[in-house]
Amino acid sequence: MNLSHPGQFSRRRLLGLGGGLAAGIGLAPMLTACGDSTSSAATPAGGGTLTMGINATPDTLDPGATGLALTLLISFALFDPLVYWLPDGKGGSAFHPGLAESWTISPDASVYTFKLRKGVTFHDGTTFDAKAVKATYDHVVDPKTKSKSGLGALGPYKETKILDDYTVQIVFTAPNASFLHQQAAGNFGISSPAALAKYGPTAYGNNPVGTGPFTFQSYQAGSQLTLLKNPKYTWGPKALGEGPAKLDKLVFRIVTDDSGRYNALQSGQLQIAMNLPPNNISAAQKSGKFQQLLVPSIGTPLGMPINVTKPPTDDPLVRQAIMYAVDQDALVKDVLYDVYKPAHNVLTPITPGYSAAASKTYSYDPDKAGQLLDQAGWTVGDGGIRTKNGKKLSLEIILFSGGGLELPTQFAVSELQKAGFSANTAVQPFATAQASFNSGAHNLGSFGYYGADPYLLNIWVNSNAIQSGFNWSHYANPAVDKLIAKANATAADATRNGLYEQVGAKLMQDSMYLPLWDVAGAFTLSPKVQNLHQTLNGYLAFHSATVG
Amino acid sequence: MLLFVVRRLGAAIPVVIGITLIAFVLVHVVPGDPAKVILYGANASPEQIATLRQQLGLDDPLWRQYADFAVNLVHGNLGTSFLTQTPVSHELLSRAPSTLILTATSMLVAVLVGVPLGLVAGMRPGSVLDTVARWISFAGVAVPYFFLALLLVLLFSVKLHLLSAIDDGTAKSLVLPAVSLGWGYAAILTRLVRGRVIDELRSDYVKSARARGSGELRVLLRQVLRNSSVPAVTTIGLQFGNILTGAAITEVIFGRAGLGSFLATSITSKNIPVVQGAVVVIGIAYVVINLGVDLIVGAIDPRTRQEAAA
Amino acid sequence: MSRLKWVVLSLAVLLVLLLLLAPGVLAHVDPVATSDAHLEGPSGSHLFGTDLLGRDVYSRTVYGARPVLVASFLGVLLASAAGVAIGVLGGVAPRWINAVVMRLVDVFLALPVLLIALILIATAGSGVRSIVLAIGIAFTPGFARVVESSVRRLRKAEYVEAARVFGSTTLRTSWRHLLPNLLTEVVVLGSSAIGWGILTATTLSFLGLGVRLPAPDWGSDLAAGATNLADAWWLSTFPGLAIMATILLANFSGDHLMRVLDPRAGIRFGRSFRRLAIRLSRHGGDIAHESA
Repeated sequence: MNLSHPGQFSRRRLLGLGGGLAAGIGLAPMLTACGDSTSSAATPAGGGTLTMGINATPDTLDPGATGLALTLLISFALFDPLVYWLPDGKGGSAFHPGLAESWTISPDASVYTFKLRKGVTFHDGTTFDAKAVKATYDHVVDPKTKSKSGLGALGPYKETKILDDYTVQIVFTAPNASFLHQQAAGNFGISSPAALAKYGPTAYGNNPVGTGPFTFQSYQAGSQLTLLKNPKYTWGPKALGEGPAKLDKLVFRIVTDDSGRYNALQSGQLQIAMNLPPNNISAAQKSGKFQQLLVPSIGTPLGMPINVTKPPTDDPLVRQAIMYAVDQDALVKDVLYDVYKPAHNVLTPITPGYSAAASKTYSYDPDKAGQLLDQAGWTVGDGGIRTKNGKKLSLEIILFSGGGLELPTQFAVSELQKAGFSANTAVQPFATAQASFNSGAHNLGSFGYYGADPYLLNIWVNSNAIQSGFNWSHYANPAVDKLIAKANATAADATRNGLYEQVGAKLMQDSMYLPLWDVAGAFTLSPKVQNLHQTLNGYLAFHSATVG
Repeated sequence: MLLFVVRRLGAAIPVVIGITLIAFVLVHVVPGDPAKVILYGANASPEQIATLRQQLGLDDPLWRQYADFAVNLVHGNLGTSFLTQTPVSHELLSRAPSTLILTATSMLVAVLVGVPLGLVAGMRPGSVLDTVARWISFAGVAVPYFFLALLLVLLFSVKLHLLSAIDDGTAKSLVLPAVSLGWGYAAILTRLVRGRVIDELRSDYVKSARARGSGELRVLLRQVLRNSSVPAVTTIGLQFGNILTGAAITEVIFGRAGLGSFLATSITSKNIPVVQGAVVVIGIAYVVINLGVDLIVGAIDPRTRQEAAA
Repeated sequence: MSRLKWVVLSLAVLLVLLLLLAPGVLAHVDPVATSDAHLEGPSGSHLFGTDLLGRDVYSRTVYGARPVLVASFLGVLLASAAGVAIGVLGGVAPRWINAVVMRLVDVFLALPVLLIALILIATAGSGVRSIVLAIGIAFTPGFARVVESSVRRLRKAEYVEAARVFGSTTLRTSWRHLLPNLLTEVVVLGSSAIGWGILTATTLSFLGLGVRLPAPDWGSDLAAGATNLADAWWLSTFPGLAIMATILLANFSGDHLMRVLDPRAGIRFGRSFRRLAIRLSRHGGDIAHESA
């Protein structure tokens, strides 16, 4: 689970958190067809080295410990989860056996039983069995691991029971319906127990050993990560291709600067550049020299949490006026070069539990925004800025640098000004902004989240996440808290999704979040690169990738 | 000479301590909770954050945190990065060579361009060559290195495909960053050397040497170049802080994993152990480089040694 | 000094004053007003083209001067004031105080500008105020070192010794004899530091530490256009050229001022420059080197 710390890592990102914490700005289904078509292309000869430019520095290579979405991307090359959950290419998704051949879920969604695959070996030569599953999950909850995203994603974990060498039960203290999605999202690739014991909980982060299509070769901190083909790999899901990887070598090259990645792609030093800024994506497409792969993600669109406690946004009418005043479609067209998908919801469309109806709560209507503000007592004054009792209608906007919202916010502000708002925008380094958001110094902030399950809403709308978590809207609604908890305790998909749809509708109704565009991974590639596959959280799988 | 070195070392120790102390205090001034930063991405409860704060020793009094840091420092232990959980010394060591190579190469560019240009200009003040050199140096100081870097990449790697856009470990990929960063200093050196040469050529000893009939070229090489290199060497030492700032930005633009950019990201993410470690390393490097500069200058020009020691 | 140079200099000073005080005279379009003319190249209606949001780049370049000029002028002013205070203190105070003060100056000399700026901005927020402070703090040690050494040298000068002999107190001595002598020196140093101040200010705003959005600023506008350099060159190029022109102008005026003002060097550039260089080579001061 990862807060998006999206694309546009300009030089400004020097101020961001140690190299950005997650994947990128997304371009949604616009080009999904392109993404899937790659798998049906003629198979070129294998071998060769594929170098992909990534926009941040991994905090660790241990997916169980990481706080960065980027490490999860890498983990799909090094590890296998028990069960894969992948897009089906038709806009839906499907589960595929990974290291587990089959699985069952208890009716209350608190016990998950997995039948494991035989004949699988780790990169260090040891054999995969039930002990490895237990070791991996116990490693995540071990306080010494200092797990960041994995621990939260795992939920109320109790224990892993080994029923026999190839059967395990993962048991939770409470119902946890999101687990099957979560275990497939990258945090829970199965690690070699021998390696975990050998390196210890923290040093393992520099020496990952999994069962995946690539083995770890070397990592130069802040510079590059080199992986080699795992020739024994035959247990991957058919959906990602058969047999061992085609590439000999897979290199992740850290280039935090946006123009740096684009330049290196043009000069041929990179074959894939991740999360280029929209103008470069557009230029790359127009040049005809590069392909664009846009991988939509489950999650919360990039947008601006609206603080429901700080005046003037404590007034629902003012918040609604904001929702009507900003034209996401124009934003995407004018500022984001039409490469992204405008968002009108608290969840992205591919997220289970997404409510299409909730997306229609507001539409761009500046007149309506004006009426709402009139109704709220804010009347148009000098220079078009509204006032009430001599006070100007002014919004404090705080962004964290490197979040990619600088330019889009300037667009949004110009729209808000037309409605009679004045705004004061501050860009702060991440740690500073986080403190501001928790203290509620802002009217509008910046946010966006890459996730695996709608339960991610709990992370940023739960009333217990205001002081220290990501509830930057300062939204406290016990009914919503309960509804989310109830949804996550419901094993039946349809019922659960129905509950999340209710939550989404309520959140939109309360206008506590101004969505701007959908999170997704953006990959610009040389035409030599073929047969990439997508994941459901904006990433790529390199199982059968080839390079020209 | 020995006394000179000892004196300078004595003066350096409080500077290094002061640097660590100031870095320590300053970083604590930066708002934001490191524990929250570390748990970024997790759905951390206040209890988890409190536990982590305790583990990290963030709730200890500041003096104790500094004492712990100082004791560890003496043992050569710079602590563990908040973000990666790996030893800071390890992280710094893996990045230091890149910065060292970049700064050294750009200074080499500065010297190779600046000194000859300054010499040529200073030998014939007012000549066409001098005017050209002065304008080049004027322009050189004025071009922001980050703008120059962007232009150079666009031309040499994107358009012409001659040089690498990002670092690939080869000497070739060092050319653009070194030129971007070194160019401004080349301009400074040109001006410094030119001024010095003009004065040296008018000084009595050069005049008398000329009168005695030494060849002009030999006079220049033996005396003038030697004396002119004093400000050149000194400038490089004193520019350390600025060079490092420039290196940080150059590193980001050229995708180099170096100390400068690492320090910058660590400050804003409140990665306190890394900031402390980096500042200690930078502070010591500053002191060592300037000590080296003083020694070199002292060797070139004994007059300065007496004055500096006075 | 040729007449032409005077004309050029006066025009330049006028331009700077206009940019600082009344940019509206030079550009009539609101620099933050968006329009539907997205990313249009330079033309009659938009001299420097438009940016992604349809804002006029010429107008942004004109209005973007103020934060840069203010930050560098005030920053250098702050540094020279603080530098003189610290330098005089170090110069006239007893030996042990001098030692403490000058070691402290050394400490700050070793801290990269970027470190100081980032800490300030993370604490006090981004903005011109933080950049002024960052430049002020970062440049102070340079001034302090030069001033301190001058004070110590001047104190040994005969007329100061004489004043002391005749019972003048230390404070009065420094007030009546030292400061006037220092003034020209500080002005010379300060004028040559302006160019470096401009470069530092734009570097920091290039990193996004400058003005609050959407206000124009050369550094941040240059950075914002950097990824467009290949397809919309005007976005970064005009702010870049503006920075270059300003630094050139600052250095040119600085040199000129040095020639006019430095009393010990007379009118010849070379010698005054040499003295400065020697002084700095002995006593540090990271400022004057740049543009001296």
